[in-house]
Amino acid sequence: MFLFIVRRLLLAIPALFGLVLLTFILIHAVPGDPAAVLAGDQATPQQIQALREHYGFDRPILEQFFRYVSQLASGSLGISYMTQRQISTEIIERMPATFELTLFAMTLATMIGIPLGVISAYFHNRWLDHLLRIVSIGGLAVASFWLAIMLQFTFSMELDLLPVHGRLSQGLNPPPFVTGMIVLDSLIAGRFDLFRDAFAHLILPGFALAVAPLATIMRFTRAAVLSTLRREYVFYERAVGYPRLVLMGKYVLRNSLVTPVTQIGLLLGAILGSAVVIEAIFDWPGLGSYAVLSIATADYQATLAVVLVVGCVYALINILVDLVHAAVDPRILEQL
Amino acid sequence: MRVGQLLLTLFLAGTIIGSSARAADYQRNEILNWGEGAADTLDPHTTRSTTDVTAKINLYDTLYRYEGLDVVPSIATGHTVSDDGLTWTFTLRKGVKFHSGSELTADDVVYSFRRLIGMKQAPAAPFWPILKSENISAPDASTVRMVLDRPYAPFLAAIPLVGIVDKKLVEAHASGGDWAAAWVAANDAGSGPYRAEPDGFRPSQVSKLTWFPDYFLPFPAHPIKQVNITTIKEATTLALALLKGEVDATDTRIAAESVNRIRKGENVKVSADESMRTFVLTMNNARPPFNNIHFRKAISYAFDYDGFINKLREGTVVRNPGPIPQNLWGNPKDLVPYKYDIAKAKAELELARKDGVDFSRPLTVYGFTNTRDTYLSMQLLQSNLRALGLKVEIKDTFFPNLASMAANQQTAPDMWFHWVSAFFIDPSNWIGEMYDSQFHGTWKGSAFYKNDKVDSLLRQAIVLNDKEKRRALYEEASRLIVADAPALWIYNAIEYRGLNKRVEGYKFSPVGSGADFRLMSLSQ
Repeated sequence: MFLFIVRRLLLAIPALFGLVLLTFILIHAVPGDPAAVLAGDQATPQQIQALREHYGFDRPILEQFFRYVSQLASGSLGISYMTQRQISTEIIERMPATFELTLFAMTLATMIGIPLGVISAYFHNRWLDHLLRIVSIGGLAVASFWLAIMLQFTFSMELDLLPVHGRLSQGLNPPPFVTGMIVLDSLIAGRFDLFRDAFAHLILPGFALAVAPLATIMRFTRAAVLSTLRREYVFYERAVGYPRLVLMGKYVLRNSLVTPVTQIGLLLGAILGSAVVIEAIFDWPGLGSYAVLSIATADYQATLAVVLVVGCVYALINILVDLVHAAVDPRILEQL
Repeated sequence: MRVGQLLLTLFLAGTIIGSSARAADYQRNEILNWGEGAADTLDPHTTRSTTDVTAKINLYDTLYRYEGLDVVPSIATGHTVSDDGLTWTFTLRKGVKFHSGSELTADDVVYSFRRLIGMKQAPAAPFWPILKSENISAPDASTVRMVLDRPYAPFLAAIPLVGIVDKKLVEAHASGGDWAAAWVAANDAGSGPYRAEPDGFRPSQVSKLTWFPDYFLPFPAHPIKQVNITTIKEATTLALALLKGEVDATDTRIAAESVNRIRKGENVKVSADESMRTFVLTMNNARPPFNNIHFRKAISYAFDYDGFINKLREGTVVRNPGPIPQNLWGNPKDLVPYKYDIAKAKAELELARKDGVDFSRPLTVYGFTNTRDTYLSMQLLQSNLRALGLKVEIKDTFFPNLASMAANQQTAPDMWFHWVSAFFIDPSNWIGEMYDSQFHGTWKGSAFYKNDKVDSLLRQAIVLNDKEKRRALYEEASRLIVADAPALWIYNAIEYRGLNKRVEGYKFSPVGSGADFRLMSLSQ
């Protein structure tokens, strides 16, 4: 297993290199000149050119690429042209916000999606199954930005139950940094007032982000459980009179989990993409809003860094999915 | 057992540290929650966006500053200009203190201007072509002298762009000629009415300012002692946050439907002020068929200005007839704007046809991604030009991409909708930089318009210090340019800022959009 992890980590390096190369080419293929942004509205062509030379934007693209890669190899993600700060600092500041949001959303999606999928399969073709299928299709079809705004109108404006934006109410200082996830850090610090406030802020964006993966998990679980229910050993276990809960929980669900677990892993990667929209609507200061900002200001190095970090997270999630597979299905462990 | 002990220790430590991290001890009516957005950078010499300007005008002082449309002395008590318009001498106010406690002297002013020019970034633009670092000097501790390479009339109007930094403090963080760029971007080296709280700033996310009681100008009877600036990019969320009382102010670009919603809300109000932010459709005059004046006039008559302003924008902007904002001097009061007149448009198109112009190819119009105004205007233009038998393709991209495309004659779009904002208040900011052919190669010059007479008028106007003579030159140039129809001047923006009713003393200025916290207070 150790060898497996090492092999997968090594294989991720060329994939990430390819990702950086592709993103670098794409960024330079579209017009966009950070020097023009830095120089502002009033700049003369000479001033823009002077900035281009200063930052090396005028160098051949191949040279710029090798300079960037050697900078990466030395462990630096570079400096943001816009804020003059280390990009790694900016990403470290923002990553916990995104992790907090996506982990909460995925926990919500999994905790609700899997039981609903099992219920749906168990009541196959009965009214509850039909109802849940409508819900899951609705969850997949609904646009997340629309849902997010509707949630804000309903729960924030009309019912006045939850805050409309941000991670903490105005005037509250975040707890001391441990994980960067305010909900966890406030618990660690024993600040239950902050925990309540942060958790209230997490509910609406978390739910808006959870709906689509919840529906997907539900559908995959339903399909997997249905197929397991048709297996002969389940017939046998039913015939010998295993209690329903033991049968479903212990024998059917565990044998059905491989597909949903794969999906959860893939969804965790995909959800980072959806988070861009949700973060923008709820003013959630995470990686998604950082990516949008960096693209909108032609801050190339920052854009590349976000892509690279998300790529790394995605690669790690894939390795993790394989390990979870092995835990769920020991036969896979033997193949590793 | 060990894990349990560790958790307990963390818990106790967290409780102790956490209690010290509670919000500052100001009263609710001393804390303003500003929703316009945190700056990208606190550095006054790299200011680009309105949120950066907010940081600058509150953290830093300038020799002169804007009060409404007027430039008034700030840390300078006055200035003189030599007869040739080249030597500008400023006398400084004595006793002005930086937040660090040191006194602001002429040395700091000289260093700040040199740093600005050395860094070459956005606020340096008006100075870079006319002022060399070595020509800025301090004859004594309260006098600063600048000798320009050539006369430049908007010099005083541009002076409020330059924040004065604490030289000693900045130099202590500089290494290898980097002007301490990284440090100044995230820290406070100013003498303004507010100071940035250490660790209270995260670029484009949050920023926390507290008042500087030793500031040399007075605060109101009940000053705002703390400002929490947050960033809410999504317009609907921002309006909701105001209605819920989570923020006390929105930005000034709220959409018409949000304006109406806020007007109906309790405890909130809308401040509406005409700005100097013109909305323009620039055509690439160097490229066929736009190189034909009749074709450009046909487009100018074919756009439904009133429909756009009154229906699509619900009357929330005002028509602007020419290149200069209609509320600024230099714009002729009798200038007649182009009106939607499809018969005239067809007649002009016929004249273009007689000139042998081929307009069979589809035309491209660009707008900004995620910007409602440019989408609405592009769709209206597409529909209006269809009536002339012209096909228009709509495209969008982010501003940096468009700015870079527009700067090059080959890659500039056929047409693009954009705004021109007030960085300093002088007609040259609009007409000068858009229609003087020496600015070809910048996005502002993307009409690639060339008229020798106009060039000559604009170049005379830029060097004269007599405002009345300049006014006459700009008015004449405006008339000539409008007659040549290089662009469609559509509207001048009205800036709508949603405010909680408890905010008092809010005063709008086209520069800084009224985010001057020193003038405000919160009802008691």
